[in-house]
Amino acid sequence: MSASKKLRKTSLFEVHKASGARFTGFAGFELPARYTELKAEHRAVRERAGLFDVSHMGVISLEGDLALQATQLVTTNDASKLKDGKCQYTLICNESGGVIDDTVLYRINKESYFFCVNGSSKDKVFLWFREKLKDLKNLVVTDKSSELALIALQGPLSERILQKICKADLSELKYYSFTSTTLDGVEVIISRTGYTGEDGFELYLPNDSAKGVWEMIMASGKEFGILPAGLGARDTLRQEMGFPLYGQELDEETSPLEASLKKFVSFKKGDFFGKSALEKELREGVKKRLIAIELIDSGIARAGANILEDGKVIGKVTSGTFSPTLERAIALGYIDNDRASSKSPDKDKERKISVEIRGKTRRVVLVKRPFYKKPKAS
Amino acid sequence: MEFPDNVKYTKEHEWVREEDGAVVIGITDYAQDSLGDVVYVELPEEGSTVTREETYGVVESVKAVSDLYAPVSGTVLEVNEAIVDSPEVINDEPYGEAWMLKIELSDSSELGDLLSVDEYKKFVEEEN
Repeated sequence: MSASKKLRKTSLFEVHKASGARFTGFAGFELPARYTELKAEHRAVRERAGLFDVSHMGVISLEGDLALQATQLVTTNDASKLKDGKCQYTLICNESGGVIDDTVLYRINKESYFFCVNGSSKDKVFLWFREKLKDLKNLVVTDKSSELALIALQGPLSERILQKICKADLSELKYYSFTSTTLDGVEVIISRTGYTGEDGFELYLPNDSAKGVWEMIMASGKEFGILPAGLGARDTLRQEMGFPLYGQELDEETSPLEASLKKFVSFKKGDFFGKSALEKELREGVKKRLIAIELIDSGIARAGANILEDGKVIGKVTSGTFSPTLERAIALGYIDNDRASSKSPDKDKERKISVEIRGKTRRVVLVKRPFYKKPKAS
Repeated sequence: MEFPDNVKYTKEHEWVREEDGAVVIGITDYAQDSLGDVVYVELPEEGSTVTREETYGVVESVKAVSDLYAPVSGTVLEVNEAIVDSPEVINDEPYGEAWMLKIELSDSSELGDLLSVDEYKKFVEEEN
């Protein structure tokens, strides 16, 4: 239970500690796993709002007249489609088409982009950019991660909470857009992005302002029932949406096509790292496919559990949890491509698929992602 | 954190209460609090035997899975099926409603090896 001494602390560590957080090690940081109960935090985000410290995430910028060209080379999505102030989900692949990281790209202007990268990937992404882009003239690659804190405000009431303390008109800020503004004099970048399936914002701000802004948002959200939320809830929220997590569903041995992320790969744009490997994979077919399963029997399938069909191992679970909203066990995993979901959900239901949990087989059913669909507001 | 003094404890955060010549076992308040929201419990069948310090079941929270260690050896007389259906009771009532098994001891001297409430409290403090 004790955290390793090597773990770094975010600039909000003392704030979390004072709130009674239980910490866990993640991506080299000591981060709140939960403050009270995971389910309560999860529910707060689905119904009202939750505030997350995600300062373990990294920020890497590409600046210079060749910034767009550089970005196109190291990403799979078409960055030329991005306008100033817009974000784009994209992937950074190696030459074999394996995923080095999945990331959100921000375009400040045509000579200035930055990536929000996963905490566990930021060092290798930085080195990859430096190495692969070294011949591009006047291109500056900067790892800004240690200067910045990153806070995510997520949930249907996020706009009302943040608008109270923010001068910019947030109703004008569309999904996957961002703006530079000030919160009580603090310079922040606010993007309408997130990892929970709910409306919400992510705020990039200097470390020394993090505590003040965190407390300001908590105070503003008090009347709306905001809760600080930990990594535990962040994980159950993203799993309910079927979002991949780097290190679980994505790694350098897995391609975007296998992870059902083809729509974030532009084969029409110019060359990029991994393109020819991915084109080959497109022609010849993938080896495995990401699938979503729900357990019919009791138990929770965790990462590493075998997935079986007709007594034969056909794949492995990569993430699994108990969904607080659906109140049943859900999991993501990969199965051999020739066993992948058919086009017909009814046929999938008839298949006898199971997972192995502690030596026992438990029946599961293949389902479509997301597991959780938000009810339409009436 | 609750530390009732009518039960004995183990370092695996189990409790044992003597009742009608048998014992009732469960997990402590500290254990349920560390686990977080419990969503699944797996218990042995009535009539099976459990051995001290060996696993007899599993308890899972949203986040983690944890083995249940038998604090004593013996035969399972009763299984609390109610918590299999409503595992969240373990978070609410770890010493009451959420007992796990009733056991007929095979060696009553094992009771002497359990921790008193003060010893257990001290152990928990040291663990943190």
